[in-house]
Amino acid sequence: MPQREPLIFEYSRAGRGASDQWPHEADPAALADLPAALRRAAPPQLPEVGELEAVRHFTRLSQLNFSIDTHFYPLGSCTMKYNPKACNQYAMLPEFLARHPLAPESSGQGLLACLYELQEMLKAVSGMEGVALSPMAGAHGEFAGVAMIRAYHRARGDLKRNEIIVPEAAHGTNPATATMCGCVVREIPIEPEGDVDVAALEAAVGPNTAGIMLTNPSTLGVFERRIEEVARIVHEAGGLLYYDGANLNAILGKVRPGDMGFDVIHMNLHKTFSTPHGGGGPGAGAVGVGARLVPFLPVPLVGREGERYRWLTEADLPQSIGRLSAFMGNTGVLLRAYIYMRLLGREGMQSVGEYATLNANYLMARLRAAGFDVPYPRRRAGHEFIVTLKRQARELNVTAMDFAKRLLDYGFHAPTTYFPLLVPECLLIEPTETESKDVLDVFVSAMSQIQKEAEQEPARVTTAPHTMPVRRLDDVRAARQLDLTWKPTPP
Amino acid sequence: MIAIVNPTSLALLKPPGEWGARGADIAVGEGQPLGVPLSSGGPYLGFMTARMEHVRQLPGRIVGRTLDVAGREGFTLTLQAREQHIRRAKATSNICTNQGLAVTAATIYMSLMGPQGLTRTAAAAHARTRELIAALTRVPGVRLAFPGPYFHEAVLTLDRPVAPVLKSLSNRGILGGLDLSGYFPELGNALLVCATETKTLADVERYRAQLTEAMQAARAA
Repeated sequence: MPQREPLIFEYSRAGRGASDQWPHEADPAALADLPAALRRAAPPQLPEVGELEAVRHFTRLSQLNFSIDTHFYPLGSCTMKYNPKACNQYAMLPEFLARHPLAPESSGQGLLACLYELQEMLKAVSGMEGVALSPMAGAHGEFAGVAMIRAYHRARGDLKRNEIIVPEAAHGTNPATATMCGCVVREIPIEPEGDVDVAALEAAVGPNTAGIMLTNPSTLGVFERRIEEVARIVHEAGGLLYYDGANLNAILGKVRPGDMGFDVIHMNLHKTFSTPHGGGGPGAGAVGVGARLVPFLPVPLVGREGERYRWLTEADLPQSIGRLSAFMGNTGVLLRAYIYMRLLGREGMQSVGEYATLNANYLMARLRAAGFDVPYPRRRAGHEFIVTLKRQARELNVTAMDFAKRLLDYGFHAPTTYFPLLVPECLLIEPTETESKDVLDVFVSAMSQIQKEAEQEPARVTTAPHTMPVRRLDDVRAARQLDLTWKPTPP
Repeated sequence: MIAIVNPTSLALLKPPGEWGARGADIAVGEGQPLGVPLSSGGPYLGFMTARMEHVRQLPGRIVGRTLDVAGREGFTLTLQAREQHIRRAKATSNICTNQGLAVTAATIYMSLMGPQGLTRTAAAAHARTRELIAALTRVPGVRLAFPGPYFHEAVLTLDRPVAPVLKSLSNRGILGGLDLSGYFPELGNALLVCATETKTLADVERYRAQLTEAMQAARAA
């Protein structure tokens, strides 16, 4: 079992430092013009460590992590697929990395060309008329999308429309986003087979409907089967359709939200287009829109005039919802997504959705054959699926959380647990297209082995993990006895 | 009170927690100076700090230290009852994906700098900016716009439009600064310049020499 790694602060010794990394020492007289009243009395309490200590500390911390490069990572809804090394390598070219955001367009034509082509490729993939790249995460893209829907209704003088309809299976970001945009959320139920309840939708729409936010395949792991009907009902009521692209990997290269009648979509480039997002980010949440919303896109966009590229700003799109970041969002992430798409090409892109759904359906079939229950046994999976351990919880007192923790001991990152909230004791499992059949088979063996343990020596599972740097953490203590900032121990 | 600060400057300047009688309530800023590449504008990190009394209103992920069942120290996301995946329409924000990698880079940078290194960095940036301003204001037609103290950037006023001068500088291999005339027309021909610890005295001298020629070229044009 790995040793506890101390905090970097605990390595600190007065006067020590990675001095090779420091700049030259300025003449203290140069500070004389800073008024004494503005100066701080004592230097900030940062750690004082040598370079080697810092290197070892952060290397050790990295080794305590699960990562895609070291472990199968079937974290449902997060699309933890392999991130090709070439994408990082090219995006890290010094000419990209060191470019100042305010450098003139004339000295950034290469970068602007990449971003312009990325806009065009995302339009082709989504079937939309316009794409903006500046949102920096999925939630940021959602914010842009709902803000555009609001701006559209306002521009038409249709001021009553402030209700956003959200199916109860939706990610929590959907209702949170709608609220942040000043809308009222109306949740509608899901039918027993996992589809949106169309009758409830019909009853919910009206003159106050701004739009609906729909995730497809839904968070329940199944494709919505009545999308065209949903689109007709919402459009006839005067609302717009928002496609939450969190699960775009399932349909990539096969069908396009624009062709289904959607007015706006956000695409999580860090999921579907494989930019690294372990540790929480950074991501990129590009938005695509149909013709009606093009005037409202956030700026900047990249435009092309002849052979020259330039930033399009508020002057070009006077009805724009404005800026979502100081510059062009997470440009470094956009470059990685661009290179990934160029590496895949058209045929490669088509096989993403095919293999993502094939892997999910294969893994689901094997787990069912091994005796695990799924909540929608008559439905095929999208790119992910749910296993429910309700029976194990009732009969063996072993929960989904216990299985998830025990999987860590078997060398697998746990699937998403207890989401979606609608299915009790659930694991949301997303293998992605980049895993081989061999890896999926070993995962099935591990699940079967844990099931056997749950029947024969349940304590082994309910007290897992046993091989990690820490065991189960006391979340209640964390919230009640808040310990959020390091404080020096008094001498 | 919300303080908006450059984190590097705080190695020299009074931290927001000590501003006035009771200090700022919230301090925010751009974290890019802490070892994150410019990369045309992102990914960067922003930081938001607050007094403990406001912690339950903060958006986004918060990490806390706690114990495991064996009494060992460990870390976990905490106060999640504020967040979208629990509170849905009543959450304090819709944030999920964040700038984690840039945060890690900033943490490593600050560990390597430590109090001495960061203080040196801030002092070197300030000293170099003073040298830059002293050099550039020797160029005919260039003066400092404001008399007050500055940290690592300052506004210059030119006696002719800024854009052609910047273009001429760009042709000489220097991105000379930010033309403020579109942002603050009331300042006239204003140019914001900045130096950090990464610039050398030779860079400063080269800028001065090239600005002298660029000003003449702009006058001739």
